[in-house]
Amino acid sequence: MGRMVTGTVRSTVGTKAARSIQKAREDWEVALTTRLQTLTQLKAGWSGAESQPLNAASAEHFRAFLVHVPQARANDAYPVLTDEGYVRLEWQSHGHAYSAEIGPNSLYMCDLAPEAVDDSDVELDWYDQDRLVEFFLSGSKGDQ
Amino acid sequence: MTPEQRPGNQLTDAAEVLRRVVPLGKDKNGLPARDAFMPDIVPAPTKSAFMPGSDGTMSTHQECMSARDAYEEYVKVGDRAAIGTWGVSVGECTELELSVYHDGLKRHPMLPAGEVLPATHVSVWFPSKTNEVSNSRLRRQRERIAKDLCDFAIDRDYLYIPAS
Repeated sequence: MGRMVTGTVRSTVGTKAARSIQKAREDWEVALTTRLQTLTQLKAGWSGAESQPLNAASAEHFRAFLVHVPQARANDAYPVLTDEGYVRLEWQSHGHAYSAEIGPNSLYMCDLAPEAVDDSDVELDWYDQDRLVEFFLSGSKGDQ
Repeated sequence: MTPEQRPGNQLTDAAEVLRRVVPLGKDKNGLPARDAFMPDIVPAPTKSAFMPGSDGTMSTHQECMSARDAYEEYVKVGDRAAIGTWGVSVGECTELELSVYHDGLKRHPMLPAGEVLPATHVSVWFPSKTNEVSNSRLRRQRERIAKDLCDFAIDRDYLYIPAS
């Protein structure tokens, strides 16, 4: 009987923990999509005279990318809008400053190393979600 | 454009803190994103995301304009929204080998014909495209400069943020 109670308690605690984790993930996903909604509302000229509104395809790529973002990296995935209307991500890790720009048909990935001489970037004239996910999670840009 | 062709007068007072307003789209959880310190986009029909304008400048205001006034002037145009005003000094720009020109009341390609820049306007000049520098390298250089400017600005802390 005692073991059953213990098992029930464990199960209840486990379920609560799972719910808590799920709730936390939902919370930050809501925060990021709310931020994206804010960016959606910015009209042409939101920054300088030539700045463009959020590109719909770029926003869609970003939404699909969010599925691959671990909860611990939620802050790194906070989207910024470029003057061209693309979603941009910026984060730092181990002394490196990373950025990625998601275009409708393009992807730019930049790694600013602790020493400027080691800076590197990759420009693709197509959008590649797998490359973006790999870059975001590991810092690896892959080959050109 | 060669340095001699740049409009205005070069600023040399290293201590002067230039005002840079950070638009809402370049907010990174209450702080400026590095992208807020990239050169402003200019009209160029062939420009792509990876082809920076050949003459990259970042718009700021002189220190004689208060950070609050810089913010107010920025948001009064169209539907613009901003999170506040941050600053970089002339000396910090010089440290990054950027030249700084007060070009208030001068014409600018972004402005309609006949209009001039605000009296306190200052342009921070980023490296230009040359035959020796690839677009990729130029882009990378600008990313590095933007990061350094952003770091300076964040270390200094905001100059003005609206109460709301």
